Amino acid sequence: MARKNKISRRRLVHTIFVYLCLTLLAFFTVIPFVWTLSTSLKGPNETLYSFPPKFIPQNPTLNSYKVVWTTLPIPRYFFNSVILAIFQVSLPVILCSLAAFPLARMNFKGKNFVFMVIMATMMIPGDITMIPIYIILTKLGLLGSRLGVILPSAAGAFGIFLMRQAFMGIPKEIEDSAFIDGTNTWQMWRYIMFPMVKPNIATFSILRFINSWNAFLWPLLVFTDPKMYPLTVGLYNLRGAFVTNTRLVAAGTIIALIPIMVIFVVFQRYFIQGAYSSAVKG
Amino acid sequence: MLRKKLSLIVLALMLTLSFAFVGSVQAATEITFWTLSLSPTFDDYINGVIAAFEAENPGIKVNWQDIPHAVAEQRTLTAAAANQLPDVMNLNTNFLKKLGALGALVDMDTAAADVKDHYFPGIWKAGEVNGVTYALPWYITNSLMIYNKDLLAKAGFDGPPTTMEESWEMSRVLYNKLGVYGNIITSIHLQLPKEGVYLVSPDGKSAAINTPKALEMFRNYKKYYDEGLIPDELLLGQAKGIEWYAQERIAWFVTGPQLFRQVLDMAPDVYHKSSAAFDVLGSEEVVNVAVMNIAVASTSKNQDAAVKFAKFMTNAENQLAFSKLTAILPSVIEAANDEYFTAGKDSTDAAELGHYIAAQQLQYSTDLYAPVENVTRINRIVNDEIKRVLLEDKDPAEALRDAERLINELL
Repeated sequence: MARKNKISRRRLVHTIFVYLCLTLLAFFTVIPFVWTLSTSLKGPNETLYSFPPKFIPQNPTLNSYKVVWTTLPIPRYFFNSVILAIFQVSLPVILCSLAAFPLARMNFKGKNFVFMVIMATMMIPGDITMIPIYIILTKLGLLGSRLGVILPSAAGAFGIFLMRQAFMGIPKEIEDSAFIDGTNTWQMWRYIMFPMVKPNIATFSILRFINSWNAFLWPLLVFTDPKMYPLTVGLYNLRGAFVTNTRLVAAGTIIALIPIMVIFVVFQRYFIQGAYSSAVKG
Repeated sequence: MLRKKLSLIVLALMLTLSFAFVGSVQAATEITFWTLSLSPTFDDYINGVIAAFEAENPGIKVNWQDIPHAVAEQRTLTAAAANQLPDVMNLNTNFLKKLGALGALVDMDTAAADVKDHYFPGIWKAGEVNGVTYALPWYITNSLMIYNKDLLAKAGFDGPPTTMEESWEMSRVLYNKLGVYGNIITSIHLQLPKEGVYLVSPDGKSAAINTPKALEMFRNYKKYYDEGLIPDELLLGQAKGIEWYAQERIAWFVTGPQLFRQVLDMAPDVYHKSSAAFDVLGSEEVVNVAVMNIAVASTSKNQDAAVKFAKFMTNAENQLAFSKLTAILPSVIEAANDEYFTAGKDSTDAAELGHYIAAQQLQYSTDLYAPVENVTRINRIVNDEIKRVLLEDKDPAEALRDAERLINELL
């Protein structure tokens, strides 16, 4: 009895410690967000950088949001972001899983070589390829167009790797029985393999969506017409050359954050599931 | 069926051709103009100037695009690498020098010789690299002091410092009595020229920093630092001076009057305790001026139109109108003489008074940055050396020798 008590006490201490760490972690992750939210709601006569910080606004107001909404064409920026996101999610998902399928399930000469070459591109930092890609886009006449933003990230080594791992985890027997039933390769990919890796596709889609939604530098480099700017770039205009109104910037940040939060909450289930399955099958 | 298809193709071709034709008729001279972080606040102003210019010069069309200041270097360098620089661009002085040295900009000493004497000479100099001026100065700001009347009164002073010695004396009292800082050291490359120590010789060929005066200044800074008068956080750039000022941790702060409003934004009560004063001038009686420039790309296919537009954007009338919209100063002498700049003389509002003082300071304003391509790296060298002296007890004489050697390597 005493022994059992001892163990459960040790376990209790352990649990308390773990929860304490997790709470602290959650606290530090959430603080900047809470500060931004509270700043965006503060009225013009409230102190922002007080120490210790005050998180509850004394006179909460939605005025900053109203100002942001009227000074910038938010719906247009939002529309631009959505268009970019649709293509920057769907194209990589299709192209990467098409490329990953033969690398995972077929045997052909030079397969490993091809895979290694693709993987090697992951080692090159984006900053190095930025100017060459920009020059290529100029030569193709794609500067200033949405295609110029979408094409450079339409397929990437990371996505191919992720999808290859997913396809490799499917038992060979399923493939064999499908062959006996008379599928061709296209049908194999479309009707057997693709539906089986849905969790991984969800993970990949969410990652791509976050990347696309938060992309800043590349859209800024490519677009020449401010009407084409996505939310991130458009909202940056709130930082003026002379005065930056911190309340407006905070309100703009919250506006840009909302869609990504919604997406995350809706797809959370797939996100965790996908993360698990890709880890186990590695 | 085939005929129908063919006729459709012919129709489509004709349509394209007709569009191309219309396009070629309209295609007068088109120039592109980049500004830094001016949209959407100044949309009406910039569009107004462009409309006036287009009305005055039929056949020239100006396409305006605004770039966020923080990524302007990347944006411009990428465009330069791809030969896609805009015809006319708004550049800050540091970056202007890099592009000018690369030969990417039009020589304004020649292209704008007719208007050169319209601008303040100390400000025209901002666009100079190795003896050639690559830009027209546009709007400018100089730095002056915003100070906390309450804190100074509590420490027993009735006004802000006017000389360097006085400012350190007051810093000592403030620190010992209230635990509040006074002088802070952020941009050492701007402090040295105020006392006659230039980083680079006037011809831009060799370092000029290693002088007895510089040694004395470095030794003094070390003394003040050891007394605790210089806060590490601001020295290392981990904190922002304007935020510390809003938190009443420093009693005065030297910045552009356009940033005074940010104190109002962050801490209204501190702002209402504040007033404005002349920056401490130092032995040379100069203050630094931050200049925004307008340059024309040498790759521009319509250089004449581009130069014409640059002159139009920076002329007295347009600069005065711009100055009235926000707390900036014009670089054109005629605009600066307007009565608009004397209106704040007796104001109790820090920003309004600051506006008056800033205009009064124009006569002392000079661009204190070294007129060489690597100015950003040179400034960094000097700031790193003073940090080594203060934080790592490096010998001041050795630090100056090292700075001299490193600067010479860059020239």
